[in-house]
Amino acid sequence: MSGPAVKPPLLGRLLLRVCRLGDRRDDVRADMQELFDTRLQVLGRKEARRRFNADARSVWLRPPARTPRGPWPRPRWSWVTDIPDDVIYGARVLRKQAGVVSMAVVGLAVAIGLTSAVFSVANAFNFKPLGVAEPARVVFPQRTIGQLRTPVHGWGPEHVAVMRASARTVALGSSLESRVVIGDGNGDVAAPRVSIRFVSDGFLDIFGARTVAGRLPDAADVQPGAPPVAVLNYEFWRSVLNGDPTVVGRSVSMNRSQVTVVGVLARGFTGPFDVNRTPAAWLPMEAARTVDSLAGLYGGTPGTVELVGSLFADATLPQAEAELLSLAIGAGAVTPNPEGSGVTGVLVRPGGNEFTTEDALILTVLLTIVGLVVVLAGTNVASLMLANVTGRQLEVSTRLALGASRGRVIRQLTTESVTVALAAGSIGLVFAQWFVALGTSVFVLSPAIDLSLDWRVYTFVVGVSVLAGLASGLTPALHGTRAAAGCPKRERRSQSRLVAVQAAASVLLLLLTALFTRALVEVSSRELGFDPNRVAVLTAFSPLKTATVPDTDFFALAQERILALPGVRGVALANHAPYEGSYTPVPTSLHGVAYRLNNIKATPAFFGVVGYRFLQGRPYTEDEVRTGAKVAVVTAGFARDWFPDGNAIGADLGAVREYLAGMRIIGIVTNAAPHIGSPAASTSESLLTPLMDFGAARIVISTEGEAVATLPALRDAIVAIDAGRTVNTRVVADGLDEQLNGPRILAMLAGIVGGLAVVLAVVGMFGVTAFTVAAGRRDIGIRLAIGASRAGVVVEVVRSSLQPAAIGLVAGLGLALIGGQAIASMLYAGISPRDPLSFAIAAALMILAAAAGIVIPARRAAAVDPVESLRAE
Amino acid sequence: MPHERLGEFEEFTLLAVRALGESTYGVPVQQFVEQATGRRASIGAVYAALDRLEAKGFVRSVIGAPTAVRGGKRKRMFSVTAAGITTAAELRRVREQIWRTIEQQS
Repeated sequence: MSGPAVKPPLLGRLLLRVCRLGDRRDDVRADMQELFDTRLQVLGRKEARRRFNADARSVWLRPPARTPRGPWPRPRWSWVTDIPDDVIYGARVLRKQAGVVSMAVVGLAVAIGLTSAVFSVANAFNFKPLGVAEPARVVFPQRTIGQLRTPVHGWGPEHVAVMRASARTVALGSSLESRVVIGDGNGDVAAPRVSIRFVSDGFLDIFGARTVAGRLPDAADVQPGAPPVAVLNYEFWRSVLNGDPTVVGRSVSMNRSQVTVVGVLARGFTGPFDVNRTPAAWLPMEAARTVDSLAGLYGGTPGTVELVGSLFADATLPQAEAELLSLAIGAGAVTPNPEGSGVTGVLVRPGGNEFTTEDALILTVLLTIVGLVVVLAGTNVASLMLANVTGRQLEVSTRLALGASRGRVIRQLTTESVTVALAAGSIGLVFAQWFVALGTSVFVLSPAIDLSLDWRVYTFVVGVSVLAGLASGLTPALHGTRAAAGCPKRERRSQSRLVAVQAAASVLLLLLTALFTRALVEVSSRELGFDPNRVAVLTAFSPLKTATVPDTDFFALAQERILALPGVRGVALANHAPYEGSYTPVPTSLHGVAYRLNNIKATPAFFGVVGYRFLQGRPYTEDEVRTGAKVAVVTAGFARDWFPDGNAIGADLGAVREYLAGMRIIGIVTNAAPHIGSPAASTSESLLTPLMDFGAARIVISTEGEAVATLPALRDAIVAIDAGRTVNTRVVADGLDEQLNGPRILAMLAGIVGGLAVVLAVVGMFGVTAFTVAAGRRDIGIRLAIGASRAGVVVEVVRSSLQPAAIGLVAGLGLALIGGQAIASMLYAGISPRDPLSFAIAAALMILAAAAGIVIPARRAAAVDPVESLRAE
Repeated sequence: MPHERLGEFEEFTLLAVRALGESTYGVPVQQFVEQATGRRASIGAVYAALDRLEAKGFVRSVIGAPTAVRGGKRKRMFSVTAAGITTAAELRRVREQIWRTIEQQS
């Protein structure tokens, strides 16, 4: 042909491209080209172009019929009927590589198991309905303050009695939460501290509770002075007491009290409360007096009980709210006043697990993390499938040549990968159960929580498996059926991409491990200033208002008597004890960012008892407390943040909060967040001010030896003063240990995930490199034969495998830099998600893993015998 | 004998296939129809007519072997079936008969 070829017009070509021509595409396009070429010569360029466009339009408007495939028209749903055949055929092919396949399956199974375990916990917490007969009817009446209707937690027991008797729109019950260690009655059992509930008469009936063994508490059990009885939660009975059928009628220990078990609730009844407050046992309210628990300390203001109800069928929420408001006013629980100040209203909140944005964030982060593990395991399956397709090139091209469409072959290949993934998914379900059991056994979750796998989890597993199967099978299938399949260069490129994806996912997971481990180390190696084993905390509340000695006299006497006990070094009072429960922070912000500040109110002795070290200034004195001097001691971090010029001593605290105006800083103490129940709390600072109101005071005691030895004497001393109080004692070390669970669990989870990432990365690198070496054996042999050095060959193999890994590593770290902020709120001790040390550790581990994966294949490459390779030619 | 009717353009297309010999393809048919009728015919219209003729059983098509021309792309080759020949002949007979009548009258 002379001169440059004239192309048909773009518009016409585009029309042809979008036209659904099917198998007619080639001949129609060739026809049109031929017509164009002819017209170009006969009619000239302009006319030829015009006619081409007109032709293209006509074809586009009415595309020619496609050839019916094969002698029989395939029914529309034939792809469904093909599935069993495809699966059987795939299984036969994959059986030949049982070893590699099972490795990929196990890897993916662990990954899916982990994902499902996380999902099943999220499911239990957020998506399952409340475990009562009619979850939609559950309501929580609360008193509210002011016009903003801020809820007040808890009701006075005397108000509740009146309201329960009179309510007509809702069946009301009252309850008191507490936490105890439940043992089997034959001594200590290593059980976690679990939630228990003291409930009003008939409470369980209101919510439709049934028993699988024994009975619910009856009238005799709720009489004052009756021996304490309990009904156990099904899951707790099954997991902690191994479903022991003889437990009914026996006694179990709750802390140091003995309680008779009268029944076990039916499976699925978990009560009207949030999942993480699922009680392991239900006891009559009367038992709160006698059972050794922290009754009144957990879940509400001391001295109050929680009100829960079940709406009657014909009642609505507004009706209930109106009725309860008038009842509450009548009972004196609420005082309406025109200015709207004080406790003025009643709010009836519907029950149910609230799925907050914070929950959503945690769930998203967790699912992303475990999703990365799935990606990692999925790439292993993908590289297996790639090797598989490459090995089956002959089969694939034969099928295509015999008239199979490309889509049909792709369907066959993806069916195989989906089958592998579904096999992994079903094994993953078993793993999921193990992981969930592991999770509960390290005290993450109460054994009372129903974590059984339900249809949501099964659907999730199937969904993840199918998705993983499609994702890992589609690329190799597309690659293997392409016209240029079998081209070694393209193959290597596909494999390199897989290695890069894998390296990126691995390094992200390793980074998480490094960050969470760093946070754990940081938070647990902090200077406390005291030995937590030598400090005890004692509470003496009166939840049912049975105290005989008024608070002021009681605490003065208690301090005096305790100080006189042998082995006691110091006694102090504080509104919060270290590492107990959580603090309500002072609402404040610094430079527009929320600032976490705990206000600890304590007696002057507190500084000595918990060993605060003064960097500057002094503690406040008894005299200052007596005269009501406005003085405060702050932690060094607070002083640094608010007074960066170092002039904190003597400064006024009005800038922090208006009500603190006039209060002066007189001392600066060493840093130690007094509780680490959450990542935010672990970075909090403290403001220590004199304790004026003893209502919620804890007695904090430092001892000469182990504090645990003095606990019985402490209890006896208190009972001798006022037998009407519920006494609870604990050693601070227990609370600290319990609070360290948070960072510990995160580090452990991240550790599991990181370990898995390393294993999967090593396996993946090994698989890909080994395959490359095996496929390139002949080339290596020839290169050696014509004079290449063995070292050179090894360097080449190492380079070709490490290069994509390095690209993935950089990409992964880059992603972490961009998206790391998402986990900032989950890191304890203020560790930054861009912590350089963690980045370095993760990168180093990733490089080690990659190197470990290629050692054996590289050695194999070096050991290739050139003579053997040439002989095979 | 099939009872399918033929439109005018279909008839031209059928006759073109018949005229072009044992087997032909889209391009010559389009060119033939254009030349014979002196009207423009788009390739899309020719394909549509061929499809209809094939569905009615008047032509049949096979995918030809790839050739060196057209970049190795294959052609769809059409040929007239026995039914097609009969129908074309029948049409011609009817028309001639009508014309004969007209001529006798004038």
